[in-house]
Amino acid sequence: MLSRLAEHVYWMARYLERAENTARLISTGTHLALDQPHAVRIDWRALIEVLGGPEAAAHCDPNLTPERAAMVQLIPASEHPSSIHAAIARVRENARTVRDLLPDELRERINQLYFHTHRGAGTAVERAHRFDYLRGVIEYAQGISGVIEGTLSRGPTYQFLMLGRHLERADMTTRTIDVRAATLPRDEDDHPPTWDDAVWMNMLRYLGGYSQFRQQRGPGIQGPAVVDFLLRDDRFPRSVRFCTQRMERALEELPHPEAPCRLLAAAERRATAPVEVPLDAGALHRRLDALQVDLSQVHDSLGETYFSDG
Amino acid sequence: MAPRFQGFDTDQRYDELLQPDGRPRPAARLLFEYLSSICEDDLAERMRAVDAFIRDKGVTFTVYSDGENIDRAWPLDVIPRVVDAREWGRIEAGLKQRLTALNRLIEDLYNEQAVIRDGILPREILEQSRNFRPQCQGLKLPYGAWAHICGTDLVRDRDGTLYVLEDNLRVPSGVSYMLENREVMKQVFPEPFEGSGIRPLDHYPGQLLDALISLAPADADNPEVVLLTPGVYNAAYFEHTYLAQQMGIELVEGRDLFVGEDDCVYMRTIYGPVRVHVIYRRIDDDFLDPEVFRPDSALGVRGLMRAWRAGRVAIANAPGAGVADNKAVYSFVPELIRYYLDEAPLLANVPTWRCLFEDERAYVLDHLDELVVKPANESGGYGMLIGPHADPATRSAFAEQICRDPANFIAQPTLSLSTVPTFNGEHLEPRHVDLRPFVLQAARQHVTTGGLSRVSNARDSLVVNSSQGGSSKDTWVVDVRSDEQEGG
Repeated sequence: MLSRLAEHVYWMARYLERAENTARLISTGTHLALDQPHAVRIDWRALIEVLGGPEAAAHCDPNLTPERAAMVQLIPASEHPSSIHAAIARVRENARTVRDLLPDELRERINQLYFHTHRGAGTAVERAHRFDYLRGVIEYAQGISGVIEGTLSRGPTYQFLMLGRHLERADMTTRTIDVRAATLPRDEDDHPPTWDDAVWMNMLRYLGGYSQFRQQRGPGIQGPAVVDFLLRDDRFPRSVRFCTQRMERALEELPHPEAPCRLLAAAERRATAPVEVPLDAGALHRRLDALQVDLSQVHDSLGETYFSDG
Repeated sequence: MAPRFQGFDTDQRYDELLQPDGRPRPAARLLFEYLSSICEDDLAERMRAVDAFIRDKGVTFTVYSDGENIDRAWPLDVIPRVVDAREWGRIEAGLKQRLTALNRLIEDLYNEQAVIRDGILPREILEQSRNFRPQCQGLKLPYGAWAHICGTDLVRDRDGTLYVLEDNLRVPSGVSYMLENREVMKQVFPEPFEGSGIRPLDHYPGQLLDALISLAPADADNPEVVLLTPGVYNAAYFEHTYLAQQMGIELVEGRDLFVGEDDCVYMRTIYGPVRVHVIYRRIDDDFLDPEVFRPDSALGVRGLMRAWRAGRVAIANAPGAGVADNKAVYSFVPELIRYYLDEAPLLANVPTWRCLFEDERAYVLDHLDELVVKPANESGGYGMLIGPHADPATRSAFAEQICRDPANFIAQPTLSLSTVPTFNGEHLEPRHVDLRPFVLQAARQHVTTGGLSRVSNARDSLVVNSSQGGSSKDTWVVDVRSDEQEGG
């Protein structure tokens, strides 16, 4: 397999995962805003920070409501790299380049997803059309994942798709926790935490892990248990640990995986270290930051091993 | 009711399917009978089915307009073009003869230049050839083959004579559409294939791969063959992916390859560098190697010419093969066939006046109002004068150009291309047609069975380019039983 094609396949999976996660986050946020207009204030700015970093948040139009400003950034803006539209356009571009490696059905679905996002991006900023649009993105993305699972041979193409998908997913999970952690009471704060179960619950909803957390961990939602679940659980497919294990399995199927495997093991060690009780905002933030650096080193190592210089 | 043929009742044209009295030519008899048994609505329905099939299959070609590449569905007409196998035999032999001579010429031009020394080809022709590559001098290639894949355009005039219009020896395209046209027709229109004696053509990708493998350096046990494409934005990208897939070889871009210290070519893979032995390139010479040709080219591979000259890698078509791909050389092909092969040409050139020679130039200048004048080094119709359609001022400006640089111009009579019935959605009307067979030359020679037939975009138009709205046809080479004589 050509290095260039492997790289395109990997990025295709990353952008697809990114688009789907973005759609999930916006969808959950909008739901919460509708459900509980008084009990919970949706922090739209935090959402933008998760998806595009602080510089994306700084770009928000101050003349719009926070929700609207966030939507303008995250749905149609093709110049904003974290928008759904930009991500899907890149999925399609990468898929075009590697067309011979993908089953026809997969290419068709990617095209359908592209046309869906292209058509609906303009109106999805409005709440009235937003759910349909986001549901479409999620469903198409799930359909694509289904075709990958059900029809694609477990050769290098599949393994690079898995690497891209799970690296992106692990990164997204750490960012989501990080935004919540930023609002934890700090050591020097002597006022009682304004933080409650509802916020942790929402975070689980964002990541689609609410019911499974409940089933596994019983009633009561406390911050440390949620963080533990999202970093260390080895059965929930969006936990960092699950993702690193899945990447390890993919690497085992690829030639000379030693370097990326070493870095992946370091990331996994950091992810599976015990979570301290009570949570300490500063320490948790540093840990998540370090975890993101670990993951970006895995990414760089994949590039050096498989993509750039062959 | 059966589809009506409209506009065929004239003796001013030659039709590929119908004789002047309106009866089918022998090779088209079964097709004609089938067409008489169905109605126009059936045909319209098949036409829609063909369009849908092509759209779903994603058979596209790229049109460059307004700075954008637009992928369009490939146009295919439901009525095939039929060629009598007896005539095809003569064409095939003529093409093989022609390509043998042209390949001999290319090797000669880069070595002894006997053809110039012996006064067959004037030195001026070589001097003004834009595609002569000094880097190729002194090289002898396996089997003496330089133009391994050639697409030759054939047209028929109203008197029924078949002419070679040009030989495309650099990076000819269209063969993928020839193959797809047959595939689509078999799926959508299977009935007329029954018992019609149509020769298959799907062995081409296998023959192409064999030809490429036969070029591999002697030290290659298991030759790695790749197709080098400029990338997804190239107009022929569909064909590049199609052929790579059919042959089961890697489709690579320049950045996927590099030349090592050992002058071997390698491709970058996830397993590490893998040696490449044969490159089927679909990139022009100019862009092949920034070390030697255009330094600003990002499409090629630095050092590729070095590797090629050292015999570490084979390139098809060979760099420099384009030296024989110009209109001035074309005009000498009949003489070249006699000179190199000592044979009479089997396929005719369009009668051509060469402005280089004084007497021929005088004739051209006297008859500018009835001739087509073409510059030697242009292709695609650039810089041509269509005498009958030009005004006197344009003609005299052209006359001046000819006198300034006579070696650069040839002139030909305006042809009236033959036609073939084409369905316009309502009835069958005659459309002008050409034919591009493909010739392979490596360890062995092969000619495709038939070729790509392209038809004009409107009834009286001579433009057959798909980018300008022309369509295409499946081409049937049909074996006719000996008891069916022409006119019988």
